[in-house]
Amino acid sequence: MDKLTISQTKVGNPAVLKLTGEIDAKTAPDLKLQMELIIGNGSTNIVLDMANLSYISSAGIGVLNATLKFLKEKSGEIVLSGLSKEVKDTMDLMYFTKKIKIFPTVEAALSSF
Amino acid sequence: MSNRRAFIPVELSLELVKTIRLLALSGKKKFTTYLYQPLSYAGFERDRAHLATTAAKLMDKIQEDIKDPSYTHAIGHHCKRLIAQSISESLSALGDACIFFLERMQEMPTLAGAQESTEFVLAIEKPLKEFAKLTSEESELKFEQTIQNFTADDMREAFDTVRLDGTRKKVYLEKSIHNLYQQVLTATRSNNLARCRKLLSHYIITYNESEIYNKSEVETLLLALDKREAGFRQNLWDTLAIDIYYSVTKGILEGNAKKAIQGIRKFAYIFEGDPNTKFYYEIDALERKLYGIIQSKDLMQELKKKDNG
Repeated sequence: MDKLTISQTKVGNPAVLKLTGEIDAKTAPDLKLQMELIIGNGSTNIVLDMANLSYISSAGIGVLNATLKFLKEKSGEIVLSGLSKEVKDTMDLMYFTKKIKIFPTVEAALSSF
Repeated sequence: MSNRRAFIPVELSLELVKTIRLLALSGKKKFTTYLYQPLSYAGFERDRAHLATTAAKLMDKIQEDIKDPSYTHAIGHHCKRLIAQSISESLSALGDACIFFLERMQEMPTLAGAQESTEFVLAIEKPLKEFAKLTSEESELKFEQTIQNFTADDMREAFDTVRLDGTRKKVYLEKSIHNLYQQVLTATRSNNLARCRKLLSHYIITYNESEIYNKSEVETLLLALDKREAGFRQNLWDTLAIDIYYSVTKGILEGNAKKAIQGIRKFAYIFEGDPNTKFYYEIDALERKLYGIIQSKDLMQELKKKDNG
């Protein structure tokens, strides 16, 4: 069974990806692939709905950071929504919350674009 | 039976050096099993020169010979004699001699392709990798046990980055980074790629988290060096991953979990989740344990307080 499920709940720009499970070294490449796919389809603004994400490792944060840098060069952005305490804590520790915008809900995230 | 290599890549010799250093921390029994015996069984002891000298003096002599181009072709042969001499001297001399031989291979491509080098690596690669695998399995368990006993203060200290908390410190750091970077540029100009690799690796590992780390300059330099020597960039990246992973493992073996944690964090900053990075999965496994313990001991708030302070 896959530890990370990724589903696109909104297509277009901005796009919304709902993440369920865990992002670690094994699943981070799947997230990267999925984001590359929607960027390839023309989305430059992405909301990652993390309400059902229970764990993220530095491998996952690394993927988000690399994609964020890439999108910023194209005047786009990734924003996050619905982070659990554990996930936010890990991002805080890696100083990633200083680089990325975080919203309580997907709706709030969408209205930021 | 493993095949003999035609050439010893830099990252392999570097990995073997790190493994020998770890082996030295693991006691005489393991050192004998994973280094002394493989070389002895491969016939290196038999080739002992019966010289009235020591391995240390032989190393000095080889180092001198390296400077003279007319001796270059004989360095491999001398290094093999050095190994033979050190086997009968002591385990410590053997470790030093092996590291010396492997480090010279990193600096001299002709030596990395010499018959003596490939023969030597054929004898030690398999047992050392077997030891590294064992150590990696043991490390996870030991790491977990060590950080279980961490206090909030220990954990905070482990997560500290280079902090610029005063003008004096900031000036000192800027000067150090500038000096190191100038050394890298000098090595680049004189085409000393081995030194360049070493200095760049040190620069990236030490200052990657610093605010004044010159990322775009490093990228420009890497592009230029990659044109001079195909694969330089990949090679440097492998070198960095090996360096950090072994610093993590060494930290664990020495019971220094702070060092291990700092290494994990550096790994994350430098490699940004690239699954092609060496030791990517091993580091991930250690990190999961670390965060698990931070959560279960509720240390996160303490750590964040320090971060915001």
